[in-house]
Amino acid sequence: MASQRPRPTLRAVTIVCVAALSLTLCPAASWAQPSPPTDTQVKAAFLYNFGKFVTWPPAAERADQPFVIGILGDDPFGDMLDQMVVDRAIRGRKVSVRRFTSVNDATAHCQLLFISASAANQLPDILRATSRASVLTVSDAEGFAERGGMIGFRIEDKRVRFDINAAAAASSGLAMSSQLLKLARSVVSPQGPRE
Amino acid sequence: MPLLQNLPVKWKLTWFSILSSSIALALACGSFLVYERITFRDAMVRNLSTHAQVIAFNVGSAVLFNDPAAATETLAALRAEPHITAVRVYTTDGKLFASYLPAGPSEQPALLTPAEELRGYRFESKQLVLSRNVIADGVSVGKVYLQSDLREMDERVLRYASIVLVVLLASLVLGGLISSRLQRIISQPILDLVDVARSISTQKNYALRVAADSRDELGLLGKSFNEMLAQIETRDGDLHRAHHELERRVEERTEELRKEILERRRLEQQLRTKNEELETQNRQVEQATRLKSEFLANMSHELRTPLNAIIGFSELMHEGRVGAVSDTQKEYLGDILTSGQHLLQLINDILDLSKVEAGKMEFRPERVQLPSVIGEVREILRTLAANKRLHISTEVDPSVSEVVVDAGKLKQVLYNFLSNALKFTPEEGSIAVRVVPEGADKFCLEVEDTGIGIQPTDLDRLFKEFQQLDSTSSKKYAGTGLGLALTKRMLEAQGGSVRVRSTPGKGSVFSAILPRVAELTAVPVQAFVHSIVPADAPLVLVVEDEARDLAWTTRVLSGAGYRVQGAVSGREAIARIGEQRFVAIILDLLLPDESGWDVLHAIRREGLNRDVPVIVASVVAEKGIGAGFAIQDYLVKPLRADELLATLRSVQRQPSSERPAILVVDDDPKALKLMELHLQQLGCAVIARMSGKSGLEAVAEVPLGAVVLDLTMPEMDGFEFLVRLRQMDRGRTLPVIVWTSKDLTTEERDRLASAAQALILKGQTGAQALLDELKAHLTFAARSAPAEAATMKG
Repeated sequence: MASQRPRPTLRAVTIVCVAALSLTLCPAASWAQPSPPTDTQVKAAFLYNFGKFVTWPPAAERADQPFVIGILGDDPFGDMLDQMVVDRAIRGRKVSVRRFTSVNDATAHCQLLFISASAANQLPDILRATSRASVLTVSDAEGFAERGGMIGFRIEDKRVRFDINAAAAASSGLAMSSQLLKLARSVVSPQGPRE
Repeated sequence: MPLLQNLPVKWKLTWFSILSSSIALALACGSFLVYERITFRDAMVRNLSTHAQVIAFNVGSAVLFNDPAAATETLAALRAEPHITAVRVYTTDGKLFASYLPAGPSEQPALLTPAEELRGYRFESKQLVLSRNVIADGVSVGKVYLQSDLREMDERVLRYASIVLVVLLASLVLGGLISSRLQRIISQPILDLVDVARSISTQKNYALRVAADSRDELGLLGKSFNEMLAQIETRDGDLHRAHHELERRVEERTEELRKEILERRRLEQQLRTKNEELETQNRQVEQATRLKSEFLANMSHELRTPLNAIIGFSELMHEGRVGAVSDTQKEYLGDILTSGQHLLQLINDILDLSKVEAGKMEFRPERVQLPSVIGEVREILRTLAANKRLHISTEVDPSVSEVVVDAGKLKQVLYNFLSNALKFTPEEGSIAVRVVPEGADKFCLEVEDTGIGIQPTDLDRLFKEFQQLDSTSSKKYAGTGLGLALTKRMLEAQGGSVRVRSTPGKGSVFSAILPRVAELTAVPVQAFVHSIVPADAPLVLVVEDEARDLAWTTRVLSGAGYRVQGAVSGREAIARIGEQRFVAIILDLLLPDESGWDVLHAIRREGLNRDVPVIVASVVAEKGIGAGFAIQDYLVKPLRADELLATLRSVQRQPSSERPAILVVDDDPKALKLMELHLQQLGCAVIARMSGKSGLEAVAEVPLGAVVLDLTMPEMDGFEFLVRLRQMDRGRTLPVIVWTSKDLTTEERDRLASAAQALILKGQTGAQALLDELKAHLTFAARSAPAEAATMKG
């Protein structure tokens, strides 16, 4: 994934070694990237990771079917996400990425939906649609979490942070792991916003 | 280790128990300690693992969401654990994500090796490094490394160890105390045993015992020890008893021995006294025997002396030498003579018998020709035999014709037998004398007659003294009754025996058996020195090649008082005549190397002996041949001694017509007179002396030719006379003829043999032997009686 500029052989070998080392250390595909990941990359990673810390209601948990991460709106990730989820699992389920154009489509087929900023103006409808299904909504639109989205990305101190609307998640029947909650910048609890 | 070995049992036991218990304790404590440590470590690991697990769990999301701050916050929760020194979270690429270092900055620990990964931890010297995977949703997103110091564990271990040590010490001390008390249970019996053993060996008191109550081995040991002591005690007791018993027995025995010794000594004493008594008795017996022998010897002499006179004078008169006798006188004189001779025989027999009985008879064995002996005895009895017209035959087996035996005694025996035979055989009878071998080493002399024989019942009386078979017949058959007894004794004394066989009316056979070679135990008899030839006697050269002839001539001449030099060849003769001067030379003509005439020439040519008289002795009888030669006389062989001597005398310059006187020394006047008469028959002058002393005076005064000497004289006996005579100048070479009736012992004979020339016994063969002897010594021929020619032995 990392674009490697052509270098002299020694360095290439070293890199190969380091890469091999990294590979031995980590069974999974390494995250070792020569350059710090971009926000988008981070978000993609977060997206994938969110799935690990959320519990869907039993009806939505279907082990035989893959865990679908849907993207509504413009796809900022490209094939980044696709490559990321290759040979990965969320909650023991294979992960696949689908793009949707209609929210109803999306809510019917995915468990985690990323709503891109381009679809932010339809947000209330989307949210209304998703609230009826057990779908974890994530977006990097402004004030997503306050508007009723479950996890909203924020950029803070040049770092990607996120806000969580636990109430929204709870009303959709999704449970958030405390671990996730802990990491959020702010958590809107069902009782009210909480910093 | 010797050090350990020499510790007292008490300390050994104590130390051993201390040692073993301390080892046990140490082992136990050690193992517990180790166990504790292991458990504690495990606990620690678990504890830390738990923490790590929790951290790992909680920090997963932070790692995923790349929130180090949140991770650090989570890590900081471990503040509560004071022993955790560092917590680090690494991402999968090995980069440090977050860390919590309560103990300050520290070195990052070395990552766990794959082997250690399995366990998940590593104990380092001062810390425990634990690692856990941070897992999010079943996937490892990183590692959390915890480091914990081991202080707690060390403290714990230390606490534990000190407790253990304290406990150990306490238990050791306690154990030591207890065991030192308890060891007594074991050591005390042993020490008791030792004490008892020691005191037993010093005091020798085997009655002591050990206390042995316990049922264990010590008790057993004690019991066995006691048993042993009991045995020893009994043995000791037995030993003592035995010892006492032994002592008692020894004492008894000693007492017995003492008594025995005393008894022995007493017996010894008795024995000694007895011995002494026996010795005294022995001496007495010896004395008695000696006295008896002396008595007999003296008596025999005393008896013979007058008999000598009787026989001598009657003989002389009977033979008409002292004047004419009438027939009747002759007859009576003959009776006197025979009676005297008979009496002499009796005396001789008695003497012989007593000598034989006393074992004092001496036998002088010599080589004897039996035929001649028999002939001599027959000759003696010829007249008697002829008177009865008895025929005597002699038969001698050639194998025993020569024997070695005492001739005189044998003649006596034969005379006895033969005279008996003659006596008891009637006229015209025959008597046979036989000699046959008897066994391998004996011979038998037999006399068989055709006489009246002997009754079987009388046979054993025969050989007893004085037993004549018929006392009445003693008148008819004259005899003494001693003969056979003496014969028997004499034969037996020589190792022989006597036998008799008889058939009454037919005849008798008397046999005498003797060894063929008698033991020559007798001291070799010294031959009488025939003459003493003085160193200045005239020297004669005898030239004679025949050894026998030379010996004979030498003997004859020496006997006549000449010194003789012999030469066996002409050359030797010539050599001799050149050496010294001779008074005469007797020359044999037939010499091996040169003829006698040549020798004669040599003699006459020679200077020394040119004019010495030469007498030729030769077998050649031609006296005429020698006439022309310068010889004094010619004698024909075989030579006669008297002729030779006479010729010698005649050729000598010095006249020897002088007839030297003969000295007769005898204390018995009758014997003296007798000898005078006899000697006068010879034509000699007689000087008669009655004592040795006067005899010696006569020797000194008068030149003498010879001496006739009696032995038994008072004051000076014949032996002493001889000794003194030989000390005198004149008497040194004087021929002495001993004429005695004394029975001489061998010792006496030997003494005489060295001093005198001959020994004649009075009475027996008359004076003839004496006269012959005298003649041989005197250097003149007898005037009246023809000299018997001494012929040369062929």
